[in-house]
Amino acid sequence: MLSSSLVMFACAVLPLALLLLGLLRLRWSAPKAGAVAWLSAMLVALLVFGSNPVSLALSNAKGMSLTLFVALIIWSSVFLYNLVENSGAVKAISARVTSLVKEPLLQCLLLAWCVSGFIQGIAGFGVPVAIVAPLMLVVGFSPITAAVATLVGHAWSISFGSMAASFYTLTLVTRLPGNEAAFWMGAMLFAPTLLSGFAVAHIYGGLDAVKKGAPAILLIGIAMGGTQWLVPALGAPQVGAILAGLAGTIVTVLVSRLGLVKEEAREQAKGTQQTAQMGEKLAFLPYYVLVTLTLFVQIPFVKSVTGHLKFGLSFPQMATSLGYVVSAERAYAAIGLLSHPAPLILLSAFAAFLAYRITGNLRPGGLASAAAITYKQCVPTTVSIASMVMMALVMNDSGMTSSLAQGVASATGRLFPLFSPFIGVLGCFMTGSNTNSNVLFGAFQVETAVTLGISTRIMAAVQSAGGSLGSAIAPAKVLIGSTTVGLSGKENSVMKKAIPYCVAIVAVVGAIAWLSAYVLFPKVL
Amino acid sequence: MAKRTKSFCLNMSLALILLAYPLFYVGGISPDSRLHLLAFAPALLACAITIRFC
Repeated sequence: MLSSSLVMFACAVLPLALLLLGLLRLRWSAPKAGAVAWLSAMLVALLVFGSNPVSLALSNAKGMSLTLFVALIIWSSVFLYNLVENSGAVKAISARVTSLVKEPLLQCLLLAWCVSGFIQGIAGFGVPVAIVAPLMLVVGFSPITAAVATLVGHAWSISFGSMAASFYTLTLVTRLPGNEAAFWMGAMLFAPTLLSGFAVAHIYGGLDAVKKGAPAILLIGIAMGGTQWLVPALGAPQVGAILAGLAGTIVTVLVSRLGLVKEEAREQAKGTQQTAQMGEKLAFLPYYVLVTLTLFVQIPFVKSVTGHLKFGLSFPQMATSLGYVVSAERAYAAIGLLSHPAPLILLSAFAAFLAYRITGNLRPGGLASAAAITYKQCVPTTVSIASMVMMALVMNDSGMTSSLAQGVASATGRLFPLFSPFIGVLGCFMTGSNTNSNVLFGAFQVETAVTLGISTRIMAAVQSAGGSLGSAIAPAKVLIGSTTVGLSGKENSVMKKAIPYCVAIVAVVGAIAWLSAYVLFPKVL
Repeated sequence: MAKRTKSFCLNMSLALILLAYPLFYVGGISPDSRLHLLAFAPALLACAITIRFC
């Protein structure tokens, strides 16, 4: 029995191992690594986990639904960026950001750590990465710094981001009381919030930047981590990340004004050396429109009127021959007319097109040129996402992911809390979503906590913290970050650089979880 | 490999994957076992093209 579980665990690891080996060691392109991993997942599901062609087809169709959901965000945000770039608005945006906060390290922290967290609070679904990474490029950071800093820098805000979708999902699947779960989740995210600031500084300029920025990072981090702890605990989890990102932005500007970080000259990107031709309000217009539209669609009346305008396929219940059952899904990964980010981003792009065209900032043919560049950039990304997401869904629906998690739990025993956040990371890595990770493993983590006699609240919070931090290395997010800064085809470099930061921060969460569960708060339910 | 060949193959893979989406769904919910297998044809072809040429 034990050896059969071990064989199943080893087989379940195979697709993930092939994906990581291909991307990080063999330097395959993301589409090739994804295709190999997907093929291996289907073979393992068929030969070892008792799947059949019908359930495999359904899992792949689910994967395609999820791919469509993610790819629409990527295509629309890359198109918006290319349109803004073609109009010359990037120079004005860069000029504004550099005038608000002059020190490059603080600019990096402001954009990758605070603003990305604020946007995650409103939109999520990869939008912060898609918007902030290219903005950082505009301001003058290198593509790799822009992509990795944004990926690592926004990961603290995901559990309470997207109007706390991941948090609410966790409370639904675990049936834990909302206020207590919110308190512990805020507590478990406090250290990662601070640490992700230090990670962003390290990504920007190594240990020197960490030392130089330490006082500022502590102040900003305490403001953000404290807000994200306090606000949800007081009963408003849906605005936890928004207010935390806002608090961080305000403190960063204050820190800059007070001169807490010594100013230093930096070689600016070509675009930023020239005088901006366009006014800043016009330049920022698409982003103002995007934020306004995002807030507008959160109004309950608008939600109720447009809520039914969505497309999503429904899937029947399925089971493997080994008895692993997957529930039926209604309107899986549904794309809402106003609840999905892509229509809002495209409306913002349309507003930008009109404004830039009327004011003569966008030359004739600028729109077509932006569309052509977008197509060229996004095709490889879409092929990669499709194969990786289909692999993840095949693994989830055949019981491979569950087998992986159970293997970790049974192998670790009392040390489980140390590894528990890595299970959250695994869920996010597979699906590109903190919410989906919580759906996959939330109940499992709570059940394991009950078996071990430790706090279910703490372990549920640790699951979500892991799922949140796993966003930094989830292939779907890495592909978004890489594509939007022009590093399509070099996703392996981005992922390779992001992994150590993610692992280090998650390991700290694991240590805090173990201490909390066994030493500090053993009596918490 | 020529950049144009790689680009063509990526476009071909994307087209096949887009074709595979409805086929997977219809194949999955259909009682006809021939459709189950047909659903995999374009996706496996896309997979082969991607592994060999991309």
